[in-house]
Amino acid sequence: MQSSNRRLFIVFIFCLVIIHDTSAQLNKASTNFISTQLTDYKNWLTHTNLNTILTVDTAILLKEKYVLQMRIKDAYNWQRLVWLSDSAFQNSLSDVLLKRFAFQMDLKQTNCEITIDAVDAGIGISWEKGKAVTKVWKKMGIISDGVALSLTRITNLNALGPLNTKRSIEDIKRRLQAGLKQYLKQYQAKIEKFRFEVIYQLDNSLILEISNIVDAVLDEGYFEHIRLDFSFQQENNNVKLVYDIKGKYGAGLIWAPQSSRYRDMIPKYDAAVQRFSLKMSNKIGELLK
Amino acid sequence: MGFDDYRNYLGKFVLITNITLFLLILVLFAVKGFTSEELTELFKYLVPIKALYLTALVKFILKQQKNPELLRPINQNIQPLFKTLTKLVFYVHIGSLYIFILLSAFNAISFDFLIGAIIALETFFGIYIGLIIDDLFGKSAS
Repeated sequence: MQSSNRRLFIVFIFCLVIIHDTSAQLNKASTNFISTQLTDYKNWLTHTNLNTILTVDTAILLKEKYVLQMRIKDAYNWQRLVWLSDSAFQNSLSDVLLKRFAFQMDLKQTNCEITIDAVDAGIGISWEKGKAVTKVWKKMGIISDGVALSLTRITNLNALGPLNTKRSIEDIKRRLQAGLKQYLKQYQAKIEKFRFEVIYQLDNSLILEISNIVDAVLDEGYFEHIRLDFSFQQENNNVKLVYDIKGKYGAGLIWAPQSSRYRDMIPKYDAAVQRFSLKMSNKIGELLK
Repeated sequence: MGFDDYRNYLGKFVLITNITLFLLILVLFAVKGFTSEELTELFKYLVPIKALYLTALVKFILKQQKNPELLRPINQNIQPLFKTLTKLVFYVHIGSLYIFILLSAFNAISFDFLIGAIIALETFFGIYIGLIIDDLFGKSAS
């Protein structure tokens, strides 16, 4: 009898441990999407070396907008980072950070914001009138030591161009949409319908989103989701075109995965993304000849 | 079917279905139903709990090998309620795992939902399976 009670007690303790452990894991699974996307964003920051100065805190939903909360030492280091990144990016640092966050969360830039907390300032990045706008608020009475943090080198961010053409912006947009749709359709998935969407179109930018394609970027057989982000700048008779390519991949048999199942191709498939970028570069050049 | 036959039948059922479950996951991974990150996550949730069941079972098989007396049939009838309960618990548990894993590979349910379902299934059935396995193959069985 005593032995039987002891055995029952051990089973009871074992069950309690399982229940406690699994309920904790269940809570964790419910917030999986945001945490997975934030992990991918952090991986991208690490990949670009920006993580040595900029760090990610969290992402929250505030007034129908997703707000990414980041941290930097002080306003001086932010200014320094903006200055250093100007040479590495084809676009401004704020633009790159905001667009990457929007891509990660599968939203338009207009639905996203970034706040960066520094010791002596608050920095806000939002999308207004077709571009990323940065606002810096100084904190009264707080002065930072102004010591510059070391930043080795900002690595390739898949920003391509600039490409100069004499065509009008409207003509370029038309050609890109028609040409890229035809070109990327060859990679459409077997059963799922090929999707080619214009998700943002203002005078100086064009964002295309392509999904339900297979083996366009990677040669792995996964479903792929690509965002092509073009910026145009009128310079005298020429139009300067800058663009970047972001990609996600997700597994699934026959049917495409939901957006939460897609993962960023960077840094895992960095080489494949760069190879695809070169391929696209040639194609875009051809289309705008 | 005597008690020992039924116990052997359940032992074989648990072993074979669990091994084929892992094989199925590997096949689905090979045909791109899961990414390598998802495969790792799936194993992270499945392996610890499956290892607990299988350890008790394998221990019993090893003991049987060393002590053939355990193989001698016992003239003990199986209570119909016991048979129904054990079959229900084992069939529904493993059947649900197969269905959810297949549904997720075909994207009929999200991967997060699959993880939630595995956790819920293991929490709900884990207690009963633990009790049954302990009773059939644990110390008391020896």
